[in-house]
Amino acid sequence: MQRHVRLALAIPLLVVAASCSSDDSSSDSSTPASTASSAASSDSNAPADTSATETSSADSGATSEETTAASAGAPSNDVSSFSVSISEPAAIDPGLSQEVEGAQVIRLLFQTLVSLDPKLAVVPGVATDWAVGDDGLTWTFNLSPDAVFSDGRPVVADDFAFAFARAADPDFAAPASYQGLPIKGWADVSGAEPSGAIGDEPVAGVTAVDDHTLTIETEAPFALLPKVLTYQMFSPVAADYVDTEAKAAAFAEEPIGNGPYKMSGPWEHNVGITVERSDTYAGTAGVTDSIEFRIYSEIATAYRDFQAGELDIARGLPPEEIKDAMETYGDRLLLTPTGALNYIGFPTNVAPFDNPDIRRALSLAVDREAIAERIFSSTLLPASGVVPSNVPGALTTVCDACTYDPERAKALYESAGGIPGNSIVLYDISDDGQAGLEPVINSWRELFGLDVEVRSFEFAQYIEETAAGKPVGPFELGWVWDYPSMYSFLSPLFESTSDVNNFGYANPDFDALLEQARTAPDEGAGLPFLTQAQAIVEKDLPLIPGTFGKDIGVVSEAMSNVMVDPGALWRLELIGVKG
Amino acid sequence: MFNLIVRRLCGAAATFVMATVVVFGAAFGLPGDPARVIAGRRQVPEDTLRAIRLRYHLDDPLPEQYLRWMGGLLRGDLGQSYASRRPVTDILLDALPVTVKLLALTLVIEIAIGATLGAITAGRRGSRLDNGVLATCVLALAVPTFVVGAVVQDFFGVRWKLLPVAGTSSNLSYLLPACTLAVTGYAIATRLMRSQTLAHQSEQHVITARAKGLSESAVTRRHIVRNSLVPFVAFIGLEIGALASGSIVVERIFNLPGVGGVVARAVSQRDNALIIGFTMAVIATYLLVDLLADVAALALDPRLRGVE
Repeated sequence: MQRHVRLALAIPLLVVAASCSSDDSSSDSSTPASTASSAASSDSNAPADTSATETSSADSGATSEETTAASAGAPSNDVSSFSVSISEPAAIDPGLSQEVEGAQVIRLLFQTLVSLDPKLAVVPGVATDWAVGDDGLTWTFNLSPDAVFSDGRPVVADDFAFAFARAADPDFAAPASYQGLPIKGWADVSGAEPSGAIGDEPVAGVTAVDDHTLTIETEAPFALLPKVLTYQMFSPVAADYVDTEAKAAAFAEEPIGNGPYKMSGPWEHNVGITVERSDTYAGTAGVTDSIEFRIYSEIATAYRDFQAGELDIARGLPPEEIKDAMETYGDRLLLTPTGALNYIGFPTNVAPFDNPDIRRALSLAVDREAIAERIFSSTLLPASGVVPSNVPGALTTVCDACTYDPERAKALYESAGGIPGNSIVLYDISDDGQAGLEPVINSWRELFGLDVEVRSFEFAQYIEETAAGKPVGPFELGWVWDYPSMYSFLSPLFESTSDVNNFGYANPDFDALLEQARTAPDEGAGLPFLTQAQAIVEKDLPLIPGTFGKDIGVVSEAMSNVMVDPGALWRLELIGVKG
Repeated sequence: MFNLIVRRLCGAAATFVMATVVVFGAAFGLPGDPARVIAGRRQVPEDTLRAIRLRYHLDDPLPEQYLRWMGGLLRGDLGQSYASRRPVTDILLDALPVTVKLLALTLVIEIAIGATLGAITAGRRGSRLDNGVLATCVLALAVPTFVVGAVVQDFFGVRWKLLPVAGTSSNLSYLLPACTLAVTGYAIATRLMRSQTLAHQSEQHVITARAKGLSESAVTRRHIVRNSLVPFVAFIGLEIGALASGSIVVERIFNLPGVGGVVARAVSQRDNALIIGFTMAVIATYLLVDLLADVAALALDPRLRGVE
């Protein structure tokens, strides 16, 4: 019996090996090793960036496979290139994009009026300079006469006016259309009945004064407008690139942009997207000649390809591999704090969650450090408040009820009268499974004797569930900024007028401070109001801050100057390939 | 025989139409609002949702959506994917060749190895080889596909670098996934061939052939193997169905842009247009393969032709 078992283990491998290797020699004459295509695709011509500080190639823990990867792809021509993993984007047409995978590509293909530098400060994009009028409503953007699309056609103010009209148009149904709502007339267009034609209705507040002057009027003073306009949906689109259905469909597959890179061919769905440096781009040119996005349906598969030396940058890591990867790759594993908050929110208008002391008590019972460290292997940060601390202006001190203090939690819970029946329903809506919730639930059970029933929901389902007025409880959710500002956390999440305020939270003092931030002469001047507003929310605590997000990825030894910005965007245009 | 084929064809058409109703109902019966999924994992204002619902006719009554879809089908139009806004037929035509290649290679592998081993072990009943092959079959049926996939990826791709880990950069890329997918079918094919060969060895026509003085190789080739292969036609018909569902896992692990991966994502994204289009394409293929299997069986086995 013993022997049979061992035999049984050995034979399938042999069978598989035999069948694979026999087919292999007949179907393709090239050796398998040579199919490890781009591998490190190292190139002698690549401008070696000496300012590379983000990644260090010095890695003592280099394993044999890495060495192979670095030496394998011998340069066969003068084109430098590297490969990077993404998952299938929802869209690479900037008007239709709403997620980071598509943004990763779009940011190379397009340049918006104003851009964000790697530290996420607003810098000139197509607009060389801009100013707001004394009324705080009318913004004037002066466009660079050098800006051109990759087909050589100049970028003019009309291209922005059209792109905005298109994004607002209900016929187009852009998923991120709401981003334009601060602009005057946007809501009139997006709220109108569909006309059947896309981009036919101009947005009243957007005017192309001449080819190189664009004015944008806002509904109310809005100091943060330039930051909003960095969103990829506000990229320029020339009307005649998309004026027929067939052209629009082709544009969605192979957009013509004005950025540092252009498409090398149409998007190969579920396979890849390749871009090459655009000769027409007037700004700082991309460092590497060509960038290949490889589309993976599983992070684990991308990571295997990386281990095999067939992929240069693996974005994301399978959770079970993180510890090993940290040891193996050292500095080549990048962990970047991002503008993401994971939290447990309360319906603050439903008893007993309308009692701030109950909310604070539940929050004080959460050991964030232990969760971030032990459950998530430090790939997340313990949250110090409701706005990630890397956001400019955000409070960096740990908020009063965001510490772990079981004694105080217990005392507060009891003095507040506890939760009737000692039982609640907790809605688990996030993608991460229940790993992060379990320690919280255990702690609540231990400290308060609280019985927690977890119900898992898809996000869309949960929204319906709660909209139907059914009984609600705390819910685990996350928020990622739309643009790098405290405002992009505080306004959508907590303002009483916000469509997406799920807490039923309303505090007039808070609302007033946000209004002051909006009407400030510029973003910087509005910052102190936002900081004050954050302090108010953290006192009221409509949500339990859990963790702040981090982006994770590994890069091959050939990569230099790898940089991930706090918006979780890999700054691929800056990356060089070492020769 | 012609009548039989026509009858089977009508039956298949009726099954297809019934299936459209079931699939349509099931897709739209799933909880969760597709408009919100299209808007992304983000809560968006009502106006944005309204525009999306209008754009995809999500507010129309279900029977109206069904008739629109059927009308499109007659023109060869399966609608537009919610998630990517591409025509479903385009997505299908992109994905289908990948899956067909994968399934064809898998079938070849499992039948070639299975039939050979089955025929050999039948001739050596009770031998060590017979027992060993039996053990591999039991193991092959017991180990989940994703484990096999991860193991072969790790050894052949990462450690030995013999074959691509994933993707479709060359024809070689199909080998590991096909071998992985073939594991289960290999076991079934081996056992099937073995039992068929054994059964036919004592059949009267085989004994007669031997008595006529035919060489053993001719007996085996013409009378045993040929007859033993008849059930394989039915096996292929059924196996394609099993492989199609198995391919969902394998395509994900090996990052093949085939039908399985697209369907898996379509379901998680509540992309009803894509779910319905793909499911119907799979059902149509299945009905067609089943029909062809019947015709092939008729061609191989003259006795069946008498049955009307």
